[in-house]
Amino acid sequence: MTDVSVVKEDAELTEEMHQYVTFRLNDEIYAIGALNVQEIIELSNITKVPHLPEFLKGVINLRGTIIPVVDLKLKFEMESEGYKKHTCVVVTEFSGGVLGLIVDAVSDVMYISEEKISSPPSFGSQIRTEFIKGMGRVGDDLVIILDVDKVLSEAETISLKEARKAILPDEGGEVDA
Amino acid sequence: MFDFKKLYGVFVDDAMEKIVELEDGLLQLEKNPHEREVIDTIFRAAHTIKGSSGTLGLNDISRFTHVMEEVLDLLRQETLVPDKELINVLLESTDMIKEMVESVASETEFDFSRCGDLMRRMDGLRNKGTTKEFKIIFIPAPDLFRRGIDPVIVLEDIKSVGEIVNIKADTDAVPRLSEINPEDLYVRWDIILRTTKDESDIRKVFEFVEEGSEIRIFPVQAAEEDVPFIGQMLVEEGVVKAEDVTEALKSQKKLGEILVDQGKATSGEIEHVLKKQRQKKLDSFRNSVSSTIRIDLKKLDHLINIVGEMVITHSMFHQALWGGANGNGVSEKLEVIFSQLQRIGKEIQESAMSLRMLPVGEVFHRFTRLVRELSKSKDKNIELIISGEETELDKGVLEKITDPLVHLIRNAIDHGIEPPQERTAAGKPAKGTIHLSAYQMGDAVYIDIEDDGRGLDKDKILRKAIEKGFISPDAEPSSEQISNLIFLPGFSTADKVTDISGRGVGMDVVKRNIEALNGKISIRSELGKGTVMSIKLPLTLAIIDGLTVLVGDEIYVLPISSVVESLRPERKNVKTLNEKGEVINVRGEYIPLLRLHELLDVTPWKRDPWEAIVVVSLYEGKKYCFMVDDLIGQQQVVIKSLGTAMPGVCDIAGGTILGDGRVALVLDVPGLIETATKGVTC
Amino acid sequence: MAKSILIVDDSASMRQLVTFALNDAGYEVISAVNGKDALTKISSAKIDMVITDLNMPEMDGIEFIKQLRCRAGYKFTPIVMLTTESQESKKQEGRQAGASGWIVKPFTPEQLTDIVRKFAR
Repeated sequence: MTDVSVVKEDAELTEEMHQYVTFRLNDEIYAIGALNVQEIIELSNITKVPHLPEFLKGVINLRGTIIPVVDLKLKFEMESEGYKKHTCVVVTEFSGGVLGLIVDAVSDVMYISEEKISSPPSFGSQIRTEFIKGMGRVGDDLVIILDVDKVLSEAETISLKEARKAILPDEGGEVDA
Repeated sequence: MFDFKKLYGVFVDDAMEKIVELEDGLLQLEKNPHEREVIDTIFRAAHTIKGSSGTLGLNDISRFTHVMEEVLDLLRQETLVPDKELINVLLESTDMIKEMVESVASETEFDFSRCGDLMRRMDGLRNKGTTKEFKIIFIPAPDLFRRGIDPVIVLEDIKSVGEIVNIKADTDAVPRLSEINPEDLYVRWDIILRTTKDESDIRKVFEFVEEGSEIRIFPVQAAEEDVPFIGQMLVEEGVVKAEDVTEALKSQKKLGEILVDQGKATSGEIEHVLKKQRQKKLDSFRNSVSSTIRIDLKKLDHLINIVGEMVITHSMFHQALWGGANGNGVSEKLEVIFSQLQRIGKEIQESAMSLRMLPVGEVFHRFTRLVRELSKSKDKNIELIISGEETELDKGVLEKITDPLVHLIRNAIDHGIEPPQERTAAGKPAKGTIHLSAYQMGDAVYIDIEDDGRGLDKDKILRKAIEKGFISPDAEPSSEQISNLIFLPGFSTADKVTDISGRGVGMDVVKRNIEALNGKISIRSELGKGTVMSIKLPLTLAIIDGLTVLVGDEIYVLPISSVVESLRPERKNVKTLNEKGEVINVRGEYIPLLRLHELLDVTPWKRDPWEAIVVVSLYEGKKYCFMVDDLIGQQQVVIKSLGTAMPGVCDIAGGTILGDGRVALVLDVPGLIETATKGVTC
Repeated sequence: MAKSILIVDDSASMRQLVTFALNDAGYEVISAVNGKDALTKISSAKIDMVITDLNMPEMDGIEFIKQLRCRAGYKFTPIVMLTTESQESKKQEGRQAGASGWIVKPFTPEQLTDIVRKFAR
């Protein structure tokens, strides 16, 4: 499972080196900045919340605090075969709050040098690129680095859309009291 | 070196609170210049700001408030009178402090030279005040020598706070030589001190000798010095003894009694007035308490009492489990203890929650200043009447309701109340009134903002709404619906947007903010008569009594406050009416049936109402039946937010964590009903 | 002749601070590390004033004050204790033992000399 070669430990750490947490979604390797990761927990009971986009699976209890969880595979419109033993939740902190990301397995924590990161290429319609910060190269492997802020900003645009609908004047007419 | 910046947040919160107290107090003082409590409150507020800013090294604030404190001190000593000029300077100074505190909050530089002018003006005021005289009676503890203290040191120290006008050693207490203990101190001193300082400064000199000594310090009024009280004179001249005067004073009748005796008033009338007087004293006391103590001590004491009870019960528990050798009656004992613990737990919870409750008066009184200044700038004559200040609201709600209230009051000043000449022409008093009131009804608190201004021009609103395409020209909305149009985003009936507000600009925000608190806002308005904005808020956000229900695999919580009853309907009572859809006949009343699983998009276990359970809810005077698979129970739940990253869902009030660690959603009944009846999905 | 002050404290830095400040102000300073030490020191010198910490090993401040008050020639000597703000009960105890006053830690050299000037004049 550790199919990602760790960057040479002895390599000199420079200003441009940042730490990332990598995880797998199907056969692809993704990464998010380690500074954004609060902790990694087992997948527990998810409580479904109505009227949300499919990828927003619901909410979980993180030691007394309720946080929303996103199924990244559903978010990226990837194939999903349900949750397995290694499925876990990466608890991330971003500008909008705390959010759990459901991933297949967490692989590693590693340093990736800035210069090894290139801007995202076009994937066509297979993968939506707006949440991709860049592509990192680690040995022969390609790591897709995610922009956590953007992963949820999409959810927020949806909520805005819903909100707008809610504020608009009633179409159904007032129920007589 | 300790980083004080960490404490800045606390300081800013605290200082802002004190600034409100200052402002409030100054405005009150303008009305009643001799309110002792008010002056004390103001003084304490300034003193606290000075102290805490000084401690944190915020020297500018501390320096500035120091000057202000000195002026206030003179006010307290009645050397200065709170005239218009003084109040104005102090109000401006309060604003300056506020700016300085805000600059701390925003971590920006504050140019202290801006304070120069105000400091000079305050100094000017201060110099108006003069020195005062105090009489100090110092009866030292007899064992002072044995504690290594020479009373002469103390007397010398007094000179450091002022000028000793007169000092008299009283040797009356010195016993006969044969009875003297040479190590004891028998002399007392009477001192007249002229000083600019106040009593507490003088008292500091006595810090080390206070224990066991008697130190009495009281101001000597200049006038009284010229003409002393007759009693005092008689004593001083040796005509009578002090005890005789006290005795005579005791037997002196109260004014009321004299009036009754002379037949000028009945005792009933006097009693009535006295009662009023007592109430007034009590009121002013209450006000000062609530503005200085953040948590009512009674509440805290109550909580501590219950916790004490819990400790006792705990030891009973211990005894029941391990105390008796034979097991007889243990289970009964445990049962008693359990029910006791349950009650205590509930009480602790309630009591702890009540600590979060604050009287709305604190916020309401800030508006006095707002109305005073805005009406001045608008050349309008407006009086703000406040009632129900003692009504309590959750601190969180109270904080969040302030901005919407400011907005609504500004609207009332700007657009509601007409200019004086227009009012007189319409046959109204030139002075407009805004009535801000709060009251509690059921589990909700209402805040009404009522003005006697021109009211909403519904024709104009309707025209505008059609013009802007909010509604179609052939729609025939009800009067209430027209009023509610002003809450739409981007809707404004003001022809020009003024510096204060434009009615409608931001009304959508006001509505959203109130709804975010699970509140509601409604408008009643009559053209030419005035407008009432009524805000309904839940008592508290955090803990509710909930009914837990099962729908499919999910557990939901319905707030008990919106539940009337629950029942399993008989098959014959479930009907489908053409105009109303599915209804259930509950004792002759046809109540619409809402299938919760449909609203919440889950797969239920039961599809037929007569197999399932319906929960009857009340919303805006109408009943609705929610169909659920099963009832689980009734329990208190702590409502938590679903996380800031979660987009808002209007059917859901929040979540709560169940005993097994799972999250259950708390349903928002009004939201559900609106979704179901109006077909609006959120 | 300069007045002599006895400082009793188990903390070396505190003893040093007090010594410096009072030497500067023209006092002679004798130091002791605890109550026991202090009681031996007073036998060999004439002390005009005592400054003592409360929490010390061997013999604490309260006990020291009590014993000192019983010594000949120290019945009326000013004794100032070093306290922390939170020790209200200690303050009370000290007063009963015969302390004349207290200085709340931390203090500035000025505050210290002010108090000393007050008692040892």
